[in-house]
Amino acid sequence: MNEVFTREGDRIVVDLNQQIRKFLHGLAAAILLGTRDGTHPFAHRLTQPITVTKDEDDPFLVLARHDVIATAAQVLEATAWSAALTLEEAESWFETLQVGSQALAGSFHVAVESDLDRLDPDDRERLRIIQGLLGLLVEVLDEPEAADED
Amino acid sequence: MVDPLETYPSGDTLTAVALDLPFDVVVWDDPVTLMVVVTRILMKVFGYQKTKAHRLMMTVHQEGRAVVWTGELNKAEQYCVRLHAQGLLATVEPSA
Repeated sequence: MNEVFTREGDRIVVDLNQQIRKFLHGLAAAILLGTRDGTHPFAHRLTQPITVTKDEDDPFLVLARHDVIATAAQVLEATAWSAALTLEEAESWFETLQVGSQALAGSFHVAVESDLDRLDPDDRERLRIIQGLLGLLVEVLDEPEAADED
Repeated sequence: MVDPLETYPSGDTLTAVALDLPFDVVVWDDPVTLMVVVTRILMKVFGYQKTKAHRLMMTVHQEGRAVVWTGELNKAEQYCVRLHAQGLLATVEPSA
């Protein structure tokens, strides 16, 4: 049973300890930095070209992508200590956690499955936490809305 | 694993744009994204039914990549931007 995220109508109750919330807040802050600072370890994965024949994208496409990523990350940053989320806020958590897992894996130079084996245990644990939370969040976001209690 | 940057020479893109040919949006496999997450993002970005999104996700998982949409270049780029913003590895390339 998913005890971390619980759907209650149009909101999701979050039961996470302060340490994990602090980690998520830091992840969102790092993503925001990665969208603004090209030298940040997250920047490479956040700006990968979408056109296979180009080394870099049209700046407009990069800005459009960073705008969406930054908005979702700001929502997570602002709600990291919330006891409950709206469905829209939970979607932002979903997006930021997934972008964060990619950015983190990119910063660890993880490209194929076997790269995960050589990771420092702490780094592997960070990825595992994000993946675990993503799995639980998908469960609750895709849960059919419960009927209103009369 | 196929390197997406070496799949097509740049001349193909220029020819495809000039001839107004269709482009593919390709999603690539990666070692950290959960399968349920790929399915959910495909449903969210393209509005696909769960069965179609699941089938495409399985192709990504088993073959390393899947063409998830084909059409006009501008729209393909917009979809690709949305996929990246959701945290999937995706590229646009001239349709085979």
